Amino acid sequence: MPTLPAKEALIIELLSSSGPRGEMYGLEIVAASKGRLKRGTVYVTLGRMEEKGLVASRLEDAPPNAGGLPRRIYAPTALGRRVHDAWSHVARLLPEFAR
Amino acid sequence: MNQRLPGERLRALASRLCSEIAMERLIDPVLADLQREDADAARRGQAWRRRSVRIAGTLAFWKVIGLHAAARAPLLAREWAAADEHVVGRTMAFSATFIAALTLLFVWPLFSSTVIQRDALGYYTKFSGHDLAWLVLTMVPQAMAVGIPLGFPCGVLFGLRRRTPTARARRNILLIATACSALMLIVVAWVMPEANQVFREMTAGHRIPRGLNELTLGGLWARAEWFDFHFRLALACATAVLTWFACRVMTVRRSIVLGLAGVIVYCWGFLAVQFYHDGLPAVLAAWLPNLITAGVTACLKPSPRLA
Repeated sequence: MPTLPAKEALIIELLSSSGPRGEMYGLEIVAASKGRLKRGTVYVTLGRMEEKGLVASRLEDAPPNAGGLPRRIYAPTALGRRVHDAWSHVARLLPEFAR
Repeated sequence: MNQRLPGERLRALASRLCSEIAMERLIDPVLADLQREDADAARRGQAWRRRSVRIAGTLAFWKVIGLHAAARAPLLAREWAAADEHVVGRTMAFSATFIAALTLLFVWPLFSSTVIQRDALGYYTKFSGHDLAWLVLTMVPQAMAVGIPLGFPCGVLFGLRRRTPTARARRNILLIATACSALMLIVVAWVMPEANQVFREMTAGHRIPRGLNELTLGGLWARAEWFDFHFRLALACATAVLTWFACRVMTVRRSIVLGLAGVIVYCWGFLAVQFYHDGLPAVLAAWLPNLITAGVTACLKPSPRLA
């Protein structure tokens, strides 16, 4: 059974609870995690999750006269939500196993 | 005036190191956050906030680079070893085997002659298990000082057997040999003298004044022991010089016999100058084996068969 590391589970949880579209950019996720995620590691984790197909990303629509690089916005995929739900279920039943 | 945005230099640097996907997924998002936060702070006129944002963003950038490099390192190492028909990986495997075998070979006589005794009842040792482990550990640097310079080129000779090493493979092998030489410098300059002294004092059971082999490079310099000083430096460089020779032999002659003969002659030369260097300037005597080997390597012409 594929595992879902705690950081990845937390990211899907935060994205799922962020509103109807479930979209956030990296620093928003870091802020919402209340210190459990760091800005240096969040993008590495998000990159890994994107490779696994747990989240999808797109570039934001840059606001007018905003210079610099566009931010990348992340949202959980259907697979990500399903894996998270399954993993949460297992964690409730077998807390030791899911730790 | 066209003002440079924060993180642009970091991005230019990262683009040289990272793949397009890594830039897109890791580097650009970090720098986009940095630029957006910086712009927000600038709009509000928060100079200190801008400074802290830039520091935090730069630290995050380097952390991402470090984590990405750590995650990619095993894959890159595999790809690197597999390139050019596994020439580098094969050579490293042979070299590691030769180095381990030669190190053991050089540890054993010292171990058996000083640590193990024999009486009518058989073999015994006066040392505890803990002390024995320490003694073996202190013998390793001395054995490595000979095992690495001899083992590495022997591994190159066998690793390149029946292969046509590309210029890139040869360059990589020489790069690793140079790194080994740098490691050897640390070993022969500082680690080996300290280990020798610990070994001598443990086997004697009391404090002993340091001999020449127990002096660090600084100690040899302070006592103006120029031959031993340069001999250690030459020994550290031996891995790179002999590897160059082995690579060249296997490229232009493809003869293991010639390569092994060269390594053996080099060993004899090194031993000879150690004992018979009177009459020669200390620096020249210490570096002579390396100089001759380098000269022979540079003059090696391709055999007519391969030319």
